[in-house]
Amino acid sequence: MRSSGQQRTARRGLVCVCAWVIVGSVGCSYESQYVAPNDGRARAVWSEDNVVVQFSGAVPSDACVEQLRAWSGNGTLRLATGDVKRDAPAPPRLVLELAPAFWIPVYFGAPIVAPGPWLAPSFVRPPLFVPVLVAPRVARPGGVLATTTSGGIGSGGGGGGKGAEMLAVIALLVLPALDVAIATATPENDRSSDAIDQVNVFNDLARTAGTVCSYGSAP
Amino acid sequence: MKKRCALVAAALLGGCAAPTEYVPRVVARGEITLRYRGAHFEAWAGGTEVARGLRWRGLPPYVACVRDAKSHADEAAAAGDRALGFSIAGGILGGLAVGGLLGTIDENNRWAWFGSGLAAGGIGLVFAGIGRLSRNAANGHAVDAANYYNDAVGSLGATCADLRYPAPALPQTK
Repeated sequence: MRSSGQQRTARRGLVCVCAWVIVGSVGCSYESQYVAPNDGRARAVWSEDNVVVQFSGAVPSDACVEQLRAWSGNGTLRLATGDVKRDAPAPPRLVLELAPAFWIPVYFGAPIVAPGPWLAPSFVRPPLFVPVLVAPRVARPGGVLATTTSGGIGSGGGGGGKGAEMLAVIALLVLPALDVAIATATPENDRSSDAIDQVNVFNDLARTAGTVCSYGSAP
Repeated sequence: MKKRCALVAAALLGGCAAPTEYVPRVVARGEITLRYRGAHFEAWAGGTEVARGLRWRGLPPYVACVRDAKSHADEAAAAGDRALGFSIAGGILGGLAVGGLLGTIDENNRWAWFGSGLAAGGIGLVFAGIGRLSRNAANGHAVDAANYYNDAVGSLGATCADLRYPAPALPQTK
């Protein structure tokens, strides 16, 4: 039989490991250093555990925002600065009826020439996808609410051997489930798929004349 | 503690994301677009899947002409390998930890069983946590790689294999 001191140390150790993994996996996520150029093309950027939408200088009209909301399960626009949710129901989804073909980019800037084979040019001023940007500013992904899970420590009962045994059995039942859950669950959630759809829909509509998101329809 | 851990496990299991529903149609020649299916991110370009998480194998060669994109793509592939290894090891150790319950039967070696089970479970938890962080890093680096590549090449109508750009519509104005 182990002394109660040893049992207490083992229990504390287990709780510490548990708390470290849970807090660590929430708080030590990959932080993107990518800074999107302000060129008017929407991007899917990484923030916390998910992909979010960054408009990068494009200013979507209200009708466009509503259309983008339609591409989320719960009508939320997944912006880098935070979710945008409205009470009104989102409109029906628009799907472009287009034959698959490559889009020839329409950009504004100097002609681009690669310095050599397999060597992409670098830009002092990025080519723009809109003639004039309404609100030029360097934008960074961020501002998404970070949620932290506090690893609360239960004091547990029963200082005696029976209590320690019971605790060990409970831990042996819980730990495997927790291990498998953490090993198999995805850190990302619906935010990512919503944001990817919204970026793809926005760019398709922005590049197509006469839609609610066409570059020409921005204020 | 049991209830608390069960809640955490339920929250983690509930984190599976829905797939994307929209297939982009107006895409530049070499532009990378993202999709999400079967709990994996995918990078598509030129009408085909270039790479998918976690391992992102096809991404480094596809974006090789953009230095920042290449380094992030390499990081994504490395982190993806780490994520797979640690997640599998964490899951296996978690399974082995169940063996510690034999301590309830074998009274003479009770604490040996309990101790080894708890150790396996604890190490498994650490491995699974590292796997989760690596998975996150793999996908984050891959998204960054796609963005760096698109900024310099993809969304401007070129590819690393053919770095010819279309002419601009008009000179840039401010």
